[in-house]
Formats: sequence, structure tokens, C-alpha cells
Amino acid sequence: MTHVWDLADVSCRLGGVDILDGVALQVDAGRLVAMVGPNGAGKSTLLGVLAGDLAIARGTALLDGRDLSSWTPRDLARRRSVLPQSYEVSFGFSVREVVAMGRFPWTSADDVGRDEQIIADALEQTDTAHLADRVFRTLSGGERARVSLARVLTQDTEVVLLDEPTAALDLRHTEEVLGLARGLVAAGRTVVVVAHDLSLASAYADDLVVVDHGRVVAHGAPADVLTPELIRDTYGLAVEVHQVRDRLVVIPAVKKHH
Amino acid sequence: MRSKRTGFVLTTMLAMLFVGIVVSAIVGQLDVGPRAVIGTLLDRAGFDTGWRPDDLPADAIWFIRMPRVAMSLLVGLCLAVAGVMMQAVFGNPLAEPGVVGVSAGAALGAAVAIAAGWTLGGGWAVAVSAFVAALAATMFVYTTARREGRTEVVTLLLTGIAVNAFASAGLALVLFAGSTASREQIVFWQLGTMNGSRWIEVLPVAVVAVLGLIFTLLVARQYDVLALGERSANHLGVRVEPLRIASMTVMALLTGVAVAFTGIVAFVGLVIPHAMRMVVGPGHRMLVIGSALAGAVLLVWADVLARTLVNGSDLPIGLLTSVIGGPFFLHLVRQARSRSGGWA
Repeated sequence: MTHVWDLADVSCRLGGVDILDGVALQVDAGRLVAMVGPNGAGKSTLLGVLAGDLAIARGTALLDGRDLSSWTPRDLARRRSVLPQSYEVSFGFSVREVVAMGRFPWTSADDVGRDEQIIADALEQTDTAHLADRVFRTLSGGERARVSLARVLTQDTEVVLLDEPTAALDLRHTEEVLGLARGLVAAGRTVVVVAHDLSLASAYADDLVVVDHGRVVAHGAPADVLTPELIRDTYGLAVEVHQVRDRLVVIPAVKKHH
Repeated sequence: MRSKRTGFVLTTMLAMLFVGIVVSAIVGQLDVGPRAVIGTLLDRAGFDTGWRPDDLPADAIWFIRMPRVAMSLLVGLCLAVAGVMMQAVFGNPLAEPGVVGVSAGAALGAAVAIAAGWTLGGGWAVAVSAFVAALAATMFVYTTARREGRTEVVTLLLTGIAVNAFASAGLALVLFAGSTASREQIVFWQLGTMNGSRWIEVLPVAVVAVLGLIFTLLVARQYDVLALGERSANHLGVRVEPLRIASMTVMALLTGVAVAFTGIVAFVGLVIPHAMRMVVGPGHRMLVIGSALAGAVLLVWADVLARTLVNGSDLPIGLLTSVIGGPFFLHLVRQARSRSGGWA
């Protein structure tokens, strides 16, 4: 079986600096993969390579066995969707209009009734239906994040990339969004999510990919990957990893000062 | 609700445009009535109504007043559509050919062509020269004001100041070096006027206006998606860079051809799209149609005003649009300031 993504020896330079240096990564269909790692490790760059945004300096990056650079923008748009880190919309587009933009790659292929249904479902799933007629720019950070996610869902692709989807979200919406990602995977889709919260990532992901200094230093089931030793080596912080019910909880091992 | 209002506004504007055309053809030294105007137009269209006046007024209407009306209509359309395009490409409602110096660049190009006596092909040589200069100014502004896929508004406006200053200096130099006749012609340009428009000059403007309108309608949906930012637009399958380059070229054509024949008519591309966004919403398909129509209405009526406000004289139309547009621009700046603390 071909992997969804197959990266071998990928290097990527931005502004004269090697952001990625010899990355090897395979992602299989129907998995929820969380990419974690310290600030500046190269997670977003790696996501950019997976999305086909960034040209690589060395190595091979295949999506469905095809070199990413050989995909047309339209074909890529029908295969993968991407939630970026920042959510900016120029002009006064309404939430519904923004979410409907997710249908853009499919406009010539689909009928309007189906489009409407997909848009309504996406608004429902992201708890944003009540915002549909609001102007996007007037929304709060968390609302923008959820609406942008709805726009990504509307693109209706088999492969979904999420760059820190929960950064602006409260506790309930964080759990809901990751539950939503699990739902996509349950339906056979493939999701790669960049995350910061190790406990949260390990609770929802099938696999953790740990990125450090532009390399993938670990890749596997959360329980196998998330060891105090690995976290100490990558984050430079001594931690304890505890199992609380079915979740792994990572807490700093620093002694109290008083 | 919005679509109902859109229909109402578009219908109203069409009516205003029609009335404006007739009124514009009536107003002037030679006394003709609306009946004579409509009769002349129908006669030209091949309908014999018996409303057609004698040859002298009919010729005055058809060869003097109608080209002027047509020019006002088309220039208004070109400038408004160019404004929509520029704002879509930069993702910013403040981008406008006049503000960022593209119009001034086009005026310099046209002035050079006049002073040098390039009269090849009627008005075409002047138009081509204006287009080339407009394109150069556009590309300069574009490459200077964009960084990592985002437009920095302050850089955009500062670049506009620099381009405007440079083009003004160039114009002054051409004025200084030019003959008396070309000087007079160039001074008119800086103010903008529809006076002395001829059918042969209307033709290139009409061709470009139609092409520009078709192009913009074809890419309207891509402009919508571009509002999500360069990266997300790309993720949705838009080829952002080719779209931008093509848009800039068409935008420079629209501005260049408008400026070549009528001079700098500022702020139309700023005021019209902004007003239309409030009426028809930000979706670019309706926005382009509405703006094209509103731009035409604005300039046809502005030209009527330019000829009637001061008895017996012809005010520069660019003066009128700037009198309206200047305060409006200030209003936009203040609004943005109170809403989000200004542009950083």
C-alpha cells in the first residue's frame, strides 16, 4: 500500500537557514498524526512541505506516490485542505461566505444543493451556525478559529492539515475540535495536526511525530514516544509523565521553590 | 434582503445613467431638447422616428456631446473597476490607482508622448505610452509594498507618495521642456477633463473597458478567495501569482487608457467600490458590476456638473472628484482609526 505522504531525506531552506534537515516521514491513510516539538523546531515548515506550499531543497516528498511539486493547485486543493495559523479575511465577508469559499475547488464539479448541505454541516460541526450572518472580522479569536476550521471542512478533502487549531480555543471547544478531527479519521480521512499541548496531543492522536532541530526524532504511538527522557532531550526540561485514567499527563518535574 | 436591495440599487443606477446621458447631451450652448437627443440617438441606431432634429443640432449632439458622454461613462467604469481590482489584489480598501501613484505615472507617460509628438494612430500612441508608464508604476508599487504575501499599508501609501512625487517632477520637467501647445494640453491633464473628446478617442477606451470588465468578472470568484490571504487562496487552488500579475496588467490598462484621454480623475476607484461594498456586499462579482455602473453614473453626472456649475465655463472634472474624494478618503482613515487603532 502506498503511503499518503512519503518524505525521504527532505531538507528545506528558508532565508539561508536549514529549517528542515533530512526529514523522513511516512503517514498512512486513516491516521490522526500530531506533530509536536519545541518552538522553532520546524513543525510549521514541515506542515508547509506536506501541504505542497514550500519547495524542498533536497530529498523527495511524495503525496499519493506523486512528487508534490508535480501536483496542480486545483488537484491539490481537491486532495488536501489546510487550516493556517492565522485567520485573516479582507473586506466584510460574512461567516457563511467565508465558509462557502471552501467549495471553491469543486465549483465546476458539483451541484448547489450539495454545496449548501456541506456548508450547513460544517457550520454545525464547528458550533458556528449561530454566527453564520456575522461579519468574519468582528468575531473573537476563538470564533475565527472555528469558522476557519468550518471553511477547511467545507473543502471536503480526504487529507486535512491543521496548524495549531486549538491555540485560541477554550477548554470545551478544544476538546470538541479534536473530537471532530477524530471523527474525520473515523470516516477514513487522514489528519495531521500541529500541537503544543503534549497531553492533549497524546489523548487524541494515533501517532506522535516529534520534531526537533529540523528532524523527526521520534514517530510512534503516544505511549511509546512520550517518555521523560525524550521530552528532556527535545524540550530541555525535566518532566514526569503520568497516566490519569486513559490520558497521559506531562508535568514539569521542577521542585517547588518554597 | 441584500439581493433585493442590490436589484433596487442597480435598477436605480441604470435609470440615473440613462437620464444622465440625456441631460448631458441637452446641456450646452446650443439649445436642444430631450426629444432631439433621443431622436438623434435612435436615428444613429437606425430607427427613423421623426424626432431627429435638423442636421446642425443632430451633428452637435452626435459628434460633440455624445463622445463626451461616452468618454465620461467609460472612464468612470474603467477607474471604478481598476479600483476594485487593485483592492482585491492588495486585500486592502485603501489601494487605489490615484492614491498609490499609478494615475500619476500614466499621466507622465501620456505627457511624454504628447511633448515628443508621438501621434501615431490617432490617440493610440498616447494611450500606449500611458499604459506602459502605468504598468511600470504598478509593478513598482506592487514589489515595494508586498512582503511575505502581505501588503503593508503604510509602505503602500508611502510608496504612493514617492511615485506621485516622482511623476509630478517628471510632468514638471516635460512642461518645462515642452512647446506652448503641448504645455497647455498637459496642464489640462493634471486636472482631468472630458472636454474635446472625439469618437476616435472613445474607441480605445471602450475596447479596454469591455476587456477589463470581462476579465474581472471571470476572476471575481478568485478575488473572493484571495480575501483569505495568499496562502489560503493557494490552498484552495488559486494560482495567486499569475492572477496578480494578470490583474495588475489589466488594471494598468484600464487606468492608462482612462488617464491618456481625460487626465487624472482621482478617487473614483476609491469611493465607488467602498460605497458599493456597503450596498451589494464584498462579493466581487456583484461588486464589479455595481462599481462599473456606479462609476459610469458618477462621472456622467460629474461632467454635467462640471459644465453647469460655473456659467459659461468648463470645470476640470478631476477637480470635482477630488473635492468629493479627498474628504471621503479622510473619512475612511478616521473610521479605520476608531475601529482598529489605525493601520500599523
